[in-house]
Amino acid sequence: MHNNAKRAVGSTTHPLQGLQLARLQQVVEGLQPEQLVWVSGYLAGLGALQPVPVNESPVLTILYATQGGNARAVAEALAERAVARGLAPSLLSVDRYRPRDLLKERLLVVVISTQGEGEPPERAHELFKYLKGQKRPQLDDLHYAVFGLGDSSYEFFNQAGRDLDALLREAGAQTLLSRVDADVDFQSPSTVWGEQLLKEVEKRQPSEQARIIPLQRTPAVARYDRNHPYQAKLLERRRITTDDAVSEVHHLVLEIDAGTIRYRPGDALGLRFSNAPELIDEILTLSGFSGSEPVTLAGDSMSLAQALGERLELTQLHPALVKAWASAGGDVQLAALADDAESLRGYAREHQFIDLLRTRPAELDAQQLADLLHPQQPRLYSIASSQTAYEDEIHLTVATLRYRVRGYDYLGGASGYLGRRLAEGDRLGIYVAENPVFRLPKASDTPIIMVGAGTGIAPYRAFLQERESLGGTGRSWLLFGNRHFHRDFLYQSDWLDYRNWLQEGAHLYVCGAIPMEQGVRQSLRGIVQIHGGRDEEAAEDYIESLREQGRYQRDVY
Amino acid sequence: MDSPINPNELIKANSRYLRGTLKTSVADTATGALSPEDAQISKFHGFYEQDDRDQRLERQERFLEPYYSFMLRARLPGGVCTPEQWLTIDAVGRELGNGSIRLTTRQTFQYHGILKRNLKPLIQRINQAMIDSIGGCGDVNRNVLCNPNPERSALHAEVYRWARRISEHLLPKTNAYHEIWLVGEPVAGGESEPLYGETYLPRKFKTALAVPPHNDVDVYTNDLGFVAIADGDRLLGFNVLAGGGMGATHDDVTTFPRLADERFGDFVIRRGLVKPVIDPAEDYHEDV
Repeated sequence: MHNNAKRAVGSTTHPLQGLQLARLQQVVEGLQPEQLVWVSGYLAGLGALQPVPVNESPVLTILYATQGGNARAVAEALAERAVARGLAPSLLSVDRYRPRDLLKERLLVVVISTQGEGEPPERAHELFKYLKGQKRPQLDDLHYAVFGLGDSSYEFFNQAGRDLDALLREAGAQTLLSRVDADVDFQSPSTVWGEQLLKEVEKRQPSEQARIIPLQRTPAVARYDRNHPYQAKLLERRRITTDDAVSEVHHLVLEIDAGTIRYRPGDALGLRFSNAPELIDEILTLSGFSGSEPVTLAGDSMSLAQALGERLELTQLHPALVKAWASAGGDVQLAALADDAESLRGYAREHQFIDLLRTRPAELDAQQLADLLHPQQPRLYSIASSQTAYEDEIHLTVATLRYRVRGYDYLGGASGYLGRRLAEGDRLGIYVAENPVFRLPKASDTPIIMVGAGTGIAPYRAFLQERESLGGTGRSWLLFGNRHFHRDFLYQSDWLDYRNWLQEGAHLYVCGAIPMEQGVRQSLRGIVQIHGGRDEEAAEDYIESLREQGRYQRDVY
Repeated sequence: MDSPINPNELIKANSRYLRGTLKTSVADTATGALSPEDAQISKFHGFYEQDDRDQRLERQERFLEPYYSFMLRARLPGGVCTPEQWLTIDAVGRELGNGSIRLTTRQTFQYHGILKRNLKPLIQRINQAMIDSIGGCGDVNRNVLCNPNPERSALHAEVYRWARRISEHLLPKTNAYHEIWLVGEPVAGGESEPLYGETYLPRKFKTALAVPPHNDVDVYTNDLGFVAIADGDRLLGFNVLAGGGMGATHDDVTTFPRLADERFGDFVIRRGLVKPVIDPAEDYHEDV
């Protein structure tokens, strides 16, 4: 065996010089397999103690700027594939990256998502600022690729990716591979892109040089993600608004294994759900299927009913689907609407897939229908509990989306599942979506101001539970808005209890719908103008500086 | 009395003449309730805190505090009001209460289901119509009863005027009501209670005036009863009754309903009326 090993060491693939290789071979000569294994570990340990000298082959740096965890998932998958191909990528979240290190980069990949109004995720703020700033770098030696994640139903589809691409190009960097603007079903485009990208990277690696691949320390805790969710049990569900309240809001308690699922206040919970049986029945009836028709989704065989129930997106209608439906069916009216991006987005926002079927039954076979529909997207909910207070529980605050329009009743996909169909004792697939840009200040005595409307109050319950459990002394302000004092004052008795210990360098948090955040920001600007004696621009700069210091944190949707 | 002092006496004594922390309690938008101490003090301002018992448990399960609202009782001697006042009373009940007005056996009206945020607007609205709610509840003299029709005769009109004078004379002297509900800032003067003292009375105090031959107000069930002595339509004075009351505390044999004694039954002339009314009240207070 050692003879084979010796033979495998070619003269051009190792970094050893002169007689070093011969000496090494002498030392290992005659060792038993067990001893060889021990020596390999010993040498690896020695190597890990010292910084590996800079290799001449360009390092592939993979940055991700994630909001809900998708960009991170894509970046991680890419890094894994790179390692499998013998590359040594450096993978990190963009907020942990020093922007001026760009000057040292040769190969850079950025996976970036876009927020609702076309902004980059919070944590990419420093990078963008650096690239746009007065000290913006000249990056002539850099080759880069940008993978953008977005949702084409938004007006500023993948704007952050586009902006970053433009900024890097303006700085003189060369494209390694042209930018991809991925839509909600990014999985397969990201795989294809990853393969192409790694081929490009390999072309730039010195072919005969040995590469040093540091040993990876694999985390001991199993990781659950969108594709490998943890099966949590619903322990309890109770409605927390009165029966006459406009909103039907439930408090849910999920049981988790504290050893494998860890979360922090501010994190979100990603979850899988099944669609409403009544909705599936209606789709089957309208399209003339029994439900037992076999279909294949991403290599898995199942019945059409099962695909509709568990795998396909039925409630969030994507503009691309409206467009495809319009062109496939020759619906002139719908096709005309689909030609205008604005009205297409409006239509998609206000309808569900069932509406397309109601206006014109499908002329598709079961497989075509399954292919036409998009894969179900997991939904994210802010976690309403602190693990310090509830070790093996996750609490959620869920408003059931329900409305009646055009004579039909509509029910939200995930919210209908969580608020109505799921029964206590049932299990559902979950994973923790970290949200490092929405965190309590490190010092427990720092005052915090929390602004939330409706179920946007959820993360603050986690914040206060955490502070109470840790005996935090910082004062906390909670500004909450909802429709009716007696009907939907979510968690009122909790807040009244916390008030016993419940105002200086405060941190401000805003959680809720995008228009609310804009309103809060506008008010804040007004307050800074009036009470800080600043003009509008200076007020905006001040708020911006709060944001940079992590003192103005947002969780908006 | 051997029993230890009732905690309510301390609340009253520490209330800075019925101010307590009512301003803070009312300004607190996180709860529909007042602080427990202020809920005691509020009675002297004419209103009680209540909650819907039928909803308590369900609301508790939903992380909601009890459904709190307030009952406010006005001060309206003899139950007499002008048509203009009545129109205001009616409108306020619709707009700031739960849509109802309840007329009481003590000749006044109550609003129910008032939300905390509506207390101040409601008190200001009735104040514009020259109606207040001072002592509507609480340990002071309550609404003074008399025949409610001053138009019936000159005698009836004269007795009604006495009912008003007694009611006003026995008002607490503190400016707390004006300060908290009407003006919004401290009002000068009124920082003592020469009649009541800082703990006010231990219980409520009831006064009624009757014009014979009718005892429509039932003088025997009032702490103080005045029976008019007249010469035709001319009021000569009153016979005074004392010590009547219907109140009894469950399981406390030292409390029981009793009829008023006529031992104060001496004929009291009009000019001297105010004095005998004050004295028994003061004596009662000092006996506590």
